[in-house]
Amino acid sequence: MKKILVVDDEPDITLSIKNGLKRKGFEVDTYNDPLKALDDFKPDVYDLLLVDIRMPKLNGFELYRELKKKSENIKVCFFTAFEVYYDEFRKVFPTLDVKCFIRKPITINELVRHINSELAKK
Amino acid sequence: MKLIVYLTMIVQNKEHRRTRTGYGKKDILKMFIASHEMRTSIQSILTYSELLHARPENKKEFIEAIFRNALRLKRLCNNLLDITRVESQTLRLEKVQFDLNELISSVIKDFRNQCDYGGNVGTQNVKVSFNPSGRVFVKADKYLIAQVILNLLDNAFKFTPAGTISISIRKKDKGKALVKIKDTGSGIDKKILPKLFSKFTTISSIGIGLGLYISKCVIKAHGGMIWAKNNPDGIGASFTFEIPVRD
Repeated sequence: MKKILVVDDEPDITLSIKNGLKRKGFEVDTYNDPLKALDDFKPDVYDLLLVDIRMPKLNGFELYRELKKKSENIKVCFFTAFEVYYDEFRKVFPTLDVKCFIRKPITINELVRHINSELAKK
Repeated sequence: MKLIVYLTMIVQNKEHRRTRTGYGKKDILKMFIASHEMRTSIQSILTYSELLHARPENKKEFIEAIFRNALRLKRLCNNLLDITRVESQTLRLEKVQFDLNELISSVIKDFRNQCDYGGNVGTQNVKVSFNPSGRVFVKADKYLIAQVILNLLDNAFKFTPAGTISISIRKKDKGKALVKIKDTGSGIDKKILPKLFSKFTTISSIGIGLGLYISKCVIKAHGGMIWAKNNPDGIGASFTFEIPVRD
């Protein structure tokens, strides 16, 4: 069973996504506090991170950068309500090698398709 | 910090692309922030609806979450409509005579009903204290003054995880009524205090920082004043507005 870590400061989002993904056969841990997620993070536990971008204390990009130090090959999808333009993103974050951006709102089936596609990448 | 650089870059680039459409930088930023708030609420409504369909046994929990997020969207719509009226100078006051005590009691009651139905999470440890005595008649736009009170109450709840919110009304000399909403919450962050009533000023992750700006515009349109300060005892903040009792 694939294990996903969801970090989003909105409790309604984490709870509903957790329920939805569990129904689709994933194991899911959630955090609303990115600093707590960073503190508790253990390498080689999760197959994928699903991370919000706009969060207080530590934004999604910063969180991913810190988590990469603990687990170099961890996969990530940013799950955001922002409009994301990849070209502009690359200019500001040239060293962040991320291509998976999932834009809210999205149905659980669509989300699962994105996650499976990312998990299938080598 | 880089997130802000990134967002600014998007706004600037979008502005460049849309120069001919007549949208300014402020309009684009407004749309950008509002669309983030909309998408976040819609995400919750969408997922909880799917779950409700698949697992009807958890009906109450899911319906409450849908209601909560629909309410958030409703507030956003109201704020966007109000701000459009303010900025296009089409805000018209429909003045009627009413009792401020009665209006505040009714706003608190509506707010409490929403809380009971899951509309405002984390409000169960907050007591609202309001002891009206007598009547305080004013001639003002009842709907807009109710919006101001609701905005201030909502704001107080946002920053008061536990404690008391007390509302008081006082009649002042020179025919003015003064309404004060005092909370025992975390107080106002010193960094945002000078621009508290400006557009898009917020440190909360919920809302887009329009409520206090709209409240200021509404009170000013009535010929009144609104202000805020941290409480002298160091616990919480007080928001106060005064409006003329008569036209």
